[in-house]
Amino acid sequence: MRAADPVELAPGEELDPLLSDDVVLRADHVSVVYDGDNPTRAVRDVTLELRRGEVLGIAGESGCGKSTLAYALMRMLRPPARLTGGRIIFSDHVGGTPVDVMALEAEELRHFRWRKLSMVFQSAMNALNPVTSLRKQFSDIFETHAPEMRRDDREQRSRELLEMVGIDPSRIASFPHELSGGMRQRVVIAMALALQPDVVIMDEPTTALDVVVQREILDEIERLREELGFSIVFITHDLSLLLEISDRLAVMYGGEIVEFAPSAQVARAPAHPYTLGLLESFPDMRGARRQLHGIPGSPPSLAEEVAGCAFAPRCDYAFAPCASVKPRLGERSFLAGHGAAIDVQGQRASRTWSVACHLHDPDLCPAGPPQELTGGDRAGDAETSTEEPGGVPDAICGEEE
Amino acid sequence: MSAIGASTLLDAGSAGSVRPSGGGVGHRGVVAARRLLRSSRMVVGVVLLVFFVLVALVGPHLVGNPNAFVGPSMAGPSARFWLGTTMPGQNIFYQLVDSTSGTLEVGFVAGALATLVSVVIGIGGGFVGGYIDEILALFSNVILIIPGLPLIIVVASYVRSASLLPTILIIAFTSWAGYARVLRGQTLSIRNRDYVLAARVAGEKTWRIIFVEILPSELAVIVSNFIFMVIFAILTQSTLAFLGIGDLSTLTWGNMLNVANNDEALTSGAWWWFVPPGLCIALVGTALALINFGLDEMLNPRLRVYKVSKARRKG
Amino acid sequence: MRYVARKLGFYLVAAWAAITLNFFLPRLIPGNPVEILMSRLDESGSPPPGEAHRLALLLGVGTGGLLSQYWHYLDALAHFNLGVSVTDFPVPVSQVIASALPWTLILVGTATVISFVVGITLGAIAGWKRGSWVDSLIPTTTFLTAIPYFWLALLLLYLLAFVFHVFPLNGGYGASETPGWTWSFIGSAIDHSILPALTIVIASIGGWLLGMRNMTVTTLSDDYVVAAEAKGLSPRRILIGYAARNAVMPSITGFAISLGFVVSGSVAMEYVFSYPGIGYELLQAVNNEDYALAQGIFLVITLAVLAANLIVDLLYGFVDPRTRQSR
Repeated sequence: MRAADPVELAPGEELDPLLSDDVVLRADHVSVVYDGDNPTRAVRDVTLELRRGEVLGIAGESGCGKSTLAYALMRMLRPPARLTGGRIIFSDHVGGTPVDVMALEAEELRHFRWRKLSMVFQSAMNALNPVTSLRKQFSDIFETHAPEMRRDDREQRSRELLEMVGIDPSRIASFPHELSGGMRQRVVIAMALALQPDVVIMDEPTTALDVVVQREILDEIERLREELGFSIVFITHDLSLLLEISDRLAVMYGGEIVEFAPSAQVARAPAHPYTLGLLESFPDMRGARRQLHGIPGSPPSLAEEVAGCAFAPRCDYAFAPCASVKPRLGERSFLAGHGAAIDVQGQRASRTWSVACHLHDPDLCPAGPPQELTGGDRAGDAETSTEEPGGVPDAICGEEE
Repeated sequence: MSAIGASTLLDAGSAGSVRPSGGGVGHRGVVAARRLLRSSRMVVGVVLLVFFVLVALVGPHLVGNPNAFVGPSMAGPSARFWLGTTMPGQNIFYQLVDSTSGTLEVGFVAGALATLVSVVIGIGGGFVGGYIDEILALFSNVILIIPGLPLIIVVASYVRSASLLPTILIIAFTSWAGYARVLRGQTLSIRNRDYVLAARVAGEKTWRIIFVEILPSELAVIVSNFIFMVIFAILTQSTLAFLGIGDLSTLTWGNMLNVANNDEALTSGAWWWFVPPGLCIALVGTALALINFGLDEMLNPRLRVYKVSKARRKG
Repeated sequence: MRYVARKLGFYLVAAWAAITLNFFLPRLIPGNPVEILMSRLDESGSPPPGEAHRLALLLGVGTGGLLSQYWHYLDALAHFNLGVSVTDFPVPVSQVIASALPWTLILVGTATVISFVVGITLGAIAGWKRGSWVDSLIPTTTFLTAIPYFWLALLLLYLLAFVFHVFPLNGGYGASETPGWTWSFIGSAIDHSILPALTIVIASIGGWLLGMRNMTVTTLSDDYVVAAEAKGLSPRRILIGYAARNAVMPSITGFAISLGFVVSGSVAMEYVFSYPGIGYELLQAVNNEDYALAQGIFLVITLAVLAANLIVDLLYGFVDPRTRQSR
């Protein structure tokens, strides 16, 4: 990260976590392969960082590798999945010794898990042991990580946790099958927070729930985050959800990160054509009515290697280099290079964002990216667009078709 | 009796992820056959079984009269008598060969009969549902729970007959219940699957639905059932014969052991008399079990033990 | 507790079925068993008065319609009157059974439980560590489950009692011992029971091992086990509390089912070892055409198996909380 321009703080104002360099979890060029007859590169050279106190969203379609990435972060990959490159660094506090998660010994790893880094799994009902009571399952966590706790303390703490997520503490004696879906999800969240970890990874925590319960759970998560101050990696295919709850978000496609930026910016000025396509796929509840587009075609098979950009076949803006040269995730800043200074309403902006697209490469695309990818009007904005919806702009990057 | 029955019921339950065969059965058959051959256990099992079947078919014609008194009493193995002689001086090797067909016949016929009954009651009851199914299920459970061998012993003591048929019948009718239960469970779950419901809505005849939609999915379980039924029948018949119950005139391995025991083979140290017949029973049983495991592994990939490298969960 | 009620109901029905079956058996057979039995009794000594009548009721020949006979039969059963034994004349059948039953129960019961527990444990370990040494036991145990119980007994008897005089050759206790609660007797009884017990364990352990191994393998890829690992729980805690606890369920059901087979196997085993249990008595009875004793034993065996099944079923209901739901 480049050094920040100094920020003036008003008296009594706190440094926004988005501005701090305090990184709690970092994935550095992580790659994961599934061995087999047809080896699949599920995660390809992914670099991400999570700052203390922030919500980092990871968005992508199914099969893009995001769950695999989540398991890699926790070092939970199982054969045939295997980490083939990169490091995962965890930093306890500012100035503390960074921990290389992959280098931990077995006992250290067990000690580390759940205390520092916990996970909320996709299907809560399957994440709970069906034959033991909630009490026992909470107790297992405490007995393992806090052996000095007495039974009464464990009981009390478990009840507190249930209450914290809005469940009647007397349900502690229940079995998982006696709870509703929403309650189970809350229990899983409570368990994830039991040891007050620094980071919680949430893998599609609300996908299996109906919309109303989903809203409750999300509110609950936000409330807990403010209260306890942990950071979240939130993984989902629902981009609209991430725009709402995450501070920064990363878009994954074909096992790679294609865009990584503050979510407010992504909402207003998506830099990657895929992100643009995603945004245009769902309606804005309160915005103008507009025609929805999907993204024609289907995601690439992770078992195959593609020359050039993985998204090129489906991209409206593909031009000459896209088929042969692989785009790298490059940093852009607001005030340098292409892209106007964006006024991100009500939020202090982060200084840089990243995108993997030749359109933003000044060497390959001297004319600069099309308007839609710099915060200008998007195709399909019925009020202001002068183009045919879904029409392809001509003369990409100054080249003639 | 061993817990073979028990473990099968467990395994049959886990093989519940069977898909409908649909079209292209021929091609899938070829793929399946190739996969079967890769399983060395399966190959060993098949080879063994084929060997015994050949012995059963051809053997008696190649050896002399097993009942003739041709040699000294309780003599050990020699060039002339490959497995020695019985107490009255019969050739044990001839007896062994001759018994093969009797034993296998009981096994396969009783096994087939038991499988047939379990298919009819299990699948039929499961498919029909309602009161009939409840009653049939209750009936199966009661039969299942009543211990088979004591019942057979008591019945056989009343019916003193000179042929294998009553033995076959009794064995079949006391052993079908276990798999009827398994098949019923499978049928109940398949019955509610979409493609069956679709067939019913389309007005397909009941028997056609059973044979074309349901049976193919359960074929694997049925074959597995059959194999275990055969093993069970052979073991049961051998035990009965050994205990001196049932038909003692037809030569079977169990009979040989009965005579051996009565003639004090053990205390005379005549191991060549009582070891080979039991060994043959065990080998046939093992052959069938191996074939069954081969089928099991084919259906449930998680059970296959891949030759994975020692790189365990690092990452 | 609908689960308990349902189970009890089933076992009552099964018990009734067994009792009725027992009632009908001799009636299904051609010939007149009572005459045979009576003539045998006469040979042994003069039977008590009314015995012929009782036997007639027991075995189904004689006065009254079927229904009245049935009532008398049930009545006799309620008084534990199963007739008089021919083999041990004039000892009542119930007494013969009562003296033989403990031998079988203790021997077979203990051996089966040991086999189950050890088999399950090894199976869990085999499933946990795929490709370990326990996996290599599997082909051997496959072979073992195909061996006839009695032949294995013969082999072991031959090797360990005849060739190498490690264990006694037959009987439940030494010929010089008198039954009673003395150390000498108990010691001798234990000595005589090791070989039969060993036979049972060797023959049946394979089934448990295999079943549990397969189930453990399946369970280990279930989400809650993955979640348990993510929680940093110790491998031991995961294996026992999460994986095995779930994987053992089908085996418990299987155990109940296997009890019938175990009893069957023990009949042959007692024959080989001349062990004075209930199976041995059954065979004696059959050979002596002692129908009253044979049927009495059959009934007792059946009811014992039913009772054991009921206990295991209730245990299962206790272990799996999902059955407690009143669905």
